[in-house]
Amino acid sequence: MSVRLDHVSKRIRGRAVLDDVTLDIPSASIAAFTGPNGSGKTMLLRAIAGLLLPTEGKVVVDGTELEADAEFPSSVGLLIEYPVFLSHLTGFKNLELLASIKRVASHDDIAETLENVGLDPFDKRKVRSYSLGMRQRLGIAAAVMERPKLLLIDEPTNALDVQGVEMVKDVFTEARRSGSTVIFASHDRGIVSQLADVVFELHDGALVKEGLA
Amino acid sequence: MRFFRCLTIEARSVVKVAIPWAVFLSVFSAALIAVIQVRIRGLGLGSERITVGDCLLYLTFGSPAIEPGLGTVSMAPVDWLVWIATMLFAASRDGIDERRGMGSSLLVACGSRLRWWLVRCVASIVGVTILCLIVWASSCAVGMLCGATADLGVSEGACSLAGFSPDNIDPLGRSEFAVFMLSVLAMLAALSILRLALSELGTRTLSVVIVLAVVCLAVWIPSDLLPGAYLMLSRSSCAVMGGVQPFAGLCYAGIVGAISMGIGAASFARRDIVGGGERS
Repeated sequence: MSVRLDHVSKRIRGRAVLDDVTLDIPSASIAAFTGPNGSGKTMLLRAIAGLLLPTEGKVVVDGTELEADAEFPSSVGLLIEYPVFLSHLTGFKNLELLASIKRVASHDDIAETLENVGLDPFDKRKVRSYSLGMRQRLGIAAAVMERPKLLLIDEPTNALDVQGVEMVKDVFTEARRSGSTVIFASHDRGIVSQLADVVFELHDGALVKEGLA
Repeated sequence: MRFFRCLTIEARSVVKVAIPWAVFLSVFSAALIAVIQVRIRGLGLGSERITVGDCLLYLTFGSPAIEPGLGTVSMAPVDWLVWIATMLFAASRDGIDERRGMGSSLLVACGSRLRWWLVRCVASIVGVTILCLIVWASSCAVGMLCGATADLGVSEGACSLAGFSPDNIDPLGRSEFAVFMLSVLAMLAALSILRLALSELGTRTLSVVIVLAVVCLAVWIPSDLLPGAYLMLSRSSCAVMGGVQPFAGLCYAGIVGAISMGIGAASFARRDIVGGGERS
């Protein structure tokens, strides 16, 4: 699933959160957005998901322009900002609920995904007792369990230990191998250089640098 | 089918959040019914047994319209206000927050902003309906424990205690009262959609305050254009001559709901789904 942004700008309460961003991300690749806090990385992910509507310019995902009345991209896995779930349910139940909408992922798929991210699918604890690292793993599981063609992940290694970071690398690499496009935002240059095929650096909402990792 | 699956998830979340308020309202209403039952028996009004219709009457009676020139100040119907305010507040507790985490994933999985907006509207209607049914059922149950018959008709004794005009004390028929209760449910559902739409333009707190204020205006201003008039039996043509028609209330509720849904859809279609702050 290819992603293209044409001169995308976004103003919120008079402040430019995205400023004339133009970029092209081919299918089956891993792209990274880097930059300091507040540079617009998360806003860019939201724009690609269709959650943020540009003030100017257009966002085209898989050949379809995202507009106010249009459908969201059809096969997208998201983890944007905090991994928030229904705290009174277990991790498995949360994913089961999410999977019940499109019915693409089976119970076995959910269990396998949870194991791949280092969580126990039979864990009876409710999400409210999860640590931040566990919630992050659950968030990644929720994003990848349906094997989406487009993966949008914000700060994937947030709160993760060394094993967790390795898990992220494995998950992203496997997604690309399966033909998915992975786009993640991170200020961790180490993970960016290890994973990304192409890197977009942002500053104050503007794209200041684009290049190979 | 995706719509119904999303609706199931959102409706369950809305109902879960509303249940504690349903319990509060049930206890409040049951206490009210028990007190009124004692009063009716104590005053010896009506020799026939009290009905569950009488119980529901006291939940929905409200207050008669102020008659100009008499120089009297209408007392605010506190019990009715508590019931209505709690219903509107409880029904305003939204389900899943689509601005963050799993909520964003659900929104995107739902397919489109319009579809998600419709899910929220229908879930809100479901929440209000379930809340109403729980409260009404518990009130009737308490009434029957106090000796009321399982009859939707309203008795003369109850009408008299409620202060209906002596010229108009005709016991309400089952079908008339049923239509009235249906119009109350429809109006509450429409107001919950109006609240949702207003919250798209402002904040949730402001939207609840505005809707509540509009509803309460009917206590002091006798106007067919005020939604509150259709929530009070004392203003209904079922109980008083020249009162508002329940069927008109059903139509009015439909119009309010449809317009609110349209305005909200147009606003939500252009809203940026970003986290932080009070949810709209």
